[in-house]
Amino acid sequence: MFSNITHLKYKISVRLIFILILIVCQYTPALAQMIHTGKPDTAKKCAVCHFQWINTFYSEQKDGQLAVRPQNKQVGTREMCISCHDGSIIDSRRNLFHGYEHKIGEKPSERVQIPEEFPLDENGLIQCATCHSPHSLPSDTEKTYGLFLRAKNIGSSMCLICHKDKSADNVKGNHPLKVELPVDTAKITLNGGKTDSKNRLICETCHMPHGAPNEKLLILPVKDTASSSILCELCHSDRPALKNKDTYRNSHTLNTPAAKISIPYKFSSGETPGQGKNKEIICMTCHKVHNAPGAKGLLLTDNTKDVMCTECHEQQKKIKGSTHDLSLSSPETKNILGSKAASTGPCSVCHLTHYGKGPLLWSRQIKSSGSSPDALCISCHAKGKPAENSLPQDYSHKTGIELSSKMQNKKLPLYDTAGIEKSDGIISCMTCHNVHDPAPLTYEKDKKGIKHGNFLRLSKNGKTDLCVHCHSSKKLIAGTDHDLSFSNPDYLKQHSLKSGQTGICSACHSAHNAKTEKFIWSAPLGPLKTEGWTTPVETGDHLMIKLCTGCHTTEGCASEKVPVRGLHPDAFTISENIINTDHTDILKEKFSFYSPDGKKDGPGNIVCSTCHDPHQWNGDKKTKGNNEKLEGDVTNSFLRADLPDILCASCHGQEGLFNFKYFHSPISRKVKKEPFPF
Amino acid sequence: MNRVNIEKTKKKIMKIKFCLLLSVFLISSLPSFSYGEKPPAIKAKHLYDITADFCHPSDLSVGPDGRIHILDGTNNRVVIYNPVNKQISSFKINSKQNVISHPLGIDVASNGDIYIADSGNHCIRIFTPEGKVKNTFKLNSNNTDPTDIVTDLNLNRCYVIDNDNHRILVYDLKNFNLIDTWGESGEKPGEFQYPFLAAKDSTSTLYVVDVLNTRVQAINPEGRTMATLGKWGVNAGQFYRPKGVTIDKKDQIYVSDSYLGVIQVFKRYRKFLGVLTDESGNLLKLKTPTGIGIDKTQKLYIVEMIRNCVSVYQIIE
Repeated sequence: MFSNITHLKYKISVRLIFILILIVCQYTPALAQMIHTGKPDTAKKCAVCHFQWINTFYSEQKDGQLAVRPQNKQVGTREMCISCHDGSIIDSRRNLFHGYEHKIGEKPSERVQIPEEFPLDENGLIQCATCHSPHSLPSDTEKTYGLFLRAKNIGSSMCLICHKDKSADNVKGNHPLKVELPVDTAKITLNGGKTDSKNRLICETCHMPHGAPNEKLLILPVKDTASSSILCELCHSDRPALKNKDTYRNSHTLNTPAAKISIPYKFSSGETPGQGKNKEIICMTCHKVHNAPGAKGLLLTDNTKDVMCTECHEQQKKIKGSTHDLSLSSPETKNILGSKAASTGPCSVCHLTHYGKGPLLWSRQIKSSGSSPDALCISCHAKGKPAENSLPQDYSHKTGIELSSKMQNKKLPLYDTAGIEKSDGIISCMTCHNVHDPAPLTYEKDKKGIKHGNFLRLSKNGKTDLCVHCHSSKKLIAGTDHDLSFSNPDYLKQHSLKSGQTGICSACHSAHNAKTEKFIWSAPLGPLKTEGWTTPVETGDHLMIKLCTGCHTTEGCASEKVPVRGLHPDAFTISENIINTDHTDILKEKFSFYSPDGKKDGPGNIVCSTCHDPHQWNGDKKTKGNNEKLEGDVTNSFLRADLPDILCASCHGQEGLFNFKYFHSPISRKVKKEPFPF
Repeated sequence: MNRVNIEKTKKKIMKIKFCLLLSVFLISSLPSFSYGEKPPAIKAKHLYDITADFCHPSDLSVGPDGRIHILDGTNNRVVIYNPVNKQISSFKINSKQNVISHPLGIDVASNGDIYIADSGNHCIRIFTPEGKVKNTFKLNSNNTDPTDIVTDLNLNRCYVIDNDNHRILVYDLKNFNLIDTWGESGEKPGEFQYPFLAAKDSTSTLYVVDVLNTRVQAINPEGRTMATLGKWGVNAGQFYRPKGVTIDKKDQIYVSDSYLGVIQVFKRYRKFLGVLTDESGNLLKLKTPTGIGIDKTQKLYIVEMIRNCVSVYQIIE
């Protein structure tokens, strides 16, 4: 009995103890851990990173007092990695979580293909563990697995596993890898870049996955104002950025804001051109290092026929299809690289973005490069050259000279000798001609479909009045009898153009192919004595007379305006003695005497222009004509101001006024009867 | 038969004894408070943040004059914050160009000299209170990885935490000669796994944060581990990534946990006092708290590494 009771007590005790043990086990992590052997929580070494495997979370399935139970399984989060790499085990603070870093906590781009061996977290986001894992250490001692990478990274091979589209081997339009670097690689490594074991280019030459100081994980800035493009120039040192405008350069302007062009927000290809922080032109304005759509040269868009140039240089686009488009008008012409115009397009036959000569990046052989801004024009407009048919003959407007101090020009460009616009520069072909715009057109299209034109600036509706932008005092001729475009529009010019189709100047003057050097005269030159003149002319072969008698003859277009006395009696020479009278200042200042070749400095003759200003109807009024044919009198008739009061009286006394009345007046010419004008 | 019964009874008694002992052991291993219960709170009021374009600062030290010396090592400088006039100044740690340093730990000695442990250059740099270079001591081996230094002018020595080698190096302050080496890699008391930052109390007891052993070891001047504070876990009194340690005027030990983002307080040598909460008693969660320091007015300065700032809290007594 006693034994039975003892046995019963014993049984109860044992059961109670086991129940107690079970209860305790339910709440005691250590025991739970023992019971759950084989579960990951048992190893603290794992839970050092696998936070969710801490026994409180894993075995007991509850929050801790200091941390809530993680809802996801991700391990290699930023916070987890920095909790050791903050220096307490490895100091990676220079690289991690500051500056620009590889995407972490974000979804991968659609362009990226991430294989299974690079796991994303449960939400499909990139984490540190996507690329790194302490479990992936290789058995060998190769450094190719360095930094706990999940794959070998020889020559950026691991980068390219995901970024397949960034490899030139896979996709065209990418910067080639494994190319030998042409420079001392110390320049690269000093800035944080790396090369492969053979000093060749790899992804890390330009990019840093962690702690990069610049956008796109670049080791150097490509958009920084002070140093844009220096990353490219580390290797492409033959294409230096322009630091000083006056220095010789052989590449397109860099690092300066676009002055005369506007970089579009997007190119027609849809690509966005890069710009510096202050809208500077940078390498990335034209180039794209990865996935460039351009067939050649990693260009931002396909530049066949130079279409990319005109994305920015829109005003220059007008050259296409014109005689200056050598790809059409002279397709066999080669640039300095030996490329034919037919293949390059209209721009590259004259300019080269890289390897060009001079500031305008000429791609033509220029004899006198740097001495004249017209060197490029002459390289074509010369005998044996593509534009020999458009070679100016005889006399042309002077170039290479500064603008006269009397002239004011606000619209037409002047240039320095290198061809760069300069407000106090010299007159060049390009002052009047816009070589990229054929207007005003002379032919819409020839048989080859090429547009012909005069390439004149400021042309409008087929006309241009650009002369008066410099020769502003001459514009008063407009609307007067001397404006043949109004007074005699059918007057044929030597270039088979009717005066009505040209400006107000071209009836008499021609910038090219003129008959005389002086006044670049294009109208017919007349005789020394016209029919009806009662006074013989004894001035020799005087240009200044023939300029006027070309029209003012009985045969000329101004046959109605032929005076009886064509010239001052004797048209005497004003000698030094006469000039040096009391009236010298007046004579010199107000009235001119011309030598037979048209010069007015020194002794000369009284000629038409001594008393007449052919560009101003009324000497007292600086106004244009009113498009009416007027019969003049002594107050106008293109007479210079103060003529009667000063000039005549200076030599003839007051009675000279009466002489004057009868000299040219309609009455004296028997055209009109009295009363006299005064 | 009786003998057989006696034997059986003995075995059963043995089993009972074993079970009882096991139960006693398990019960004794239970925490001092049960799960679900809020841990004891030590309230603190957030005062302000100190910002000065930091880049992952690691440690700070309160000087004898009350100024806060913040080690902004990635920026190669020490930032000094004066809590009286709230002015900020700084000085460079390494004046040589292109020499990258990895300073991690800082201690301002009781005489005002500033000691910096430069792990990257395997040296201790000493500056005057004005930030002038006073001396640089290259440590004995290039393998030495100094992550923190604690000076004790009373004992005329300093303790250098040799992180990678899992040990404490004891130098005399006069000539910087190595006096002693404490510890090795391991998990037992007196052994370390990546010791990081350290501090000392008024009795010259050194408290070393033993990161991967998830504890703080209290070591007396003879190098004997007197106690270990905390253990592995995510509950009150436990650590996941202990990093910084500081000791207040009452010799209470404050320990930061960079992953859990909390500060816990212990009484020497072992007793857990509580966890820092805000004024409402809510757990104070910080972003990667690392080096910490406390001044005489019980203002607690906490380096929040990823936030690139130092947050300042007033401990409410």
